Amino acid sequence: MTQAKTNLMQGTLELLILKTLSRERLMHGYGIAQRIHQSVDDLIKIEDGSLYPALYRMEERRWVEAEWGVSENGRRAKYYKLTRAGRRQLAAECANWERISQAMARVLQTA
Amino acid sequence: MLKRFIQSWQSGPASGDIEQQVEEELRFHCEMLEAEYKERGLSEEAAKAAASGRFGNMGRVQSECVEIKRRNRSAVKLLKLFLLLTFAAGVWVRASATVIQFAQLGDLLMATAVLGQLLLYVRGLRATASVKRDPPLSLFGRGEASSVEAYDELGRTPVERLVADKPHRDS
Repeated sequence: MTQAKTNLMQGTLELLILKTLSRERLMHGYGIAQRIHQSVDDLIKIEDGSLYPALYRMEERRWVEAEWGVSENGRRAKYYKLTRAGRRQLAAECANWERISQAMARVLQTA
Repeated sequence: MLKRFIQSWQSGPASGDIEQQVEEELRFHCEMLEAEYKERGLSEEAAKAAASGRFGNMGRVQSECVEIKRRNRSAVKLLKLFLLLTFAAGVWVRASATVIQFAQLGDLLMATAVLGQLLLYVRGLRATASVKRDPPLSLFGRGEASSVEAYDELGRTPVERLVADKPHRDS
């Protein structure tokens, strides 16, 4: 059975990153990518590299903070954590997503 | 807040350092991917190719990240310096003014500086107009990827268009 192809909304990647960071205190980009891949399985195709411009923009907007640290294998890595503004943004985006999903479900039911 | 204020005024990495740090961060990710694929039993070359495929275009990602880091740095720093000097000038004028008009000028300068800092803070909270959109994620059948652009002339996605175009019903 073929699966439907569709494009998700802009900002979905940021929502995935915000949600992932809300579960862990500090994560580097590779860890964030791994967690997202585990969560979405094969349903969403994400290039790992696309996380970084999103992370940098979120840092610009002060939704996340970054600091250099030492990874689990002794390598230098940049770690990200959610700020208070980031948590507020996550709540707002989740509410928006819920609203859109309900609207979509309603439209599809009546179609 | 004081710590953040001081950190925001620290010189930060020089232009070349930004590129170096971005490259170091991305290189770390790629090497972790390679290690992951090697653990799955791939050869070194195959692991490198698989990691490169999973990461995407390294050069494009790196240049985009460097651009994001740079664009905010120099312009905002200059503006912050200008606002700081304006505030300092306002304090000096206010303190040394013997005529009421000059005292009001000092107040105006200080108020301008404070308002400017507030606007910069709000700007940091809001998405800027120049921020590029994230590439759309896609649901796909196994081994396939969607390449359809879903945004209309108003920048709306299919879901947003459906919601917006839904006919209103009489209550």
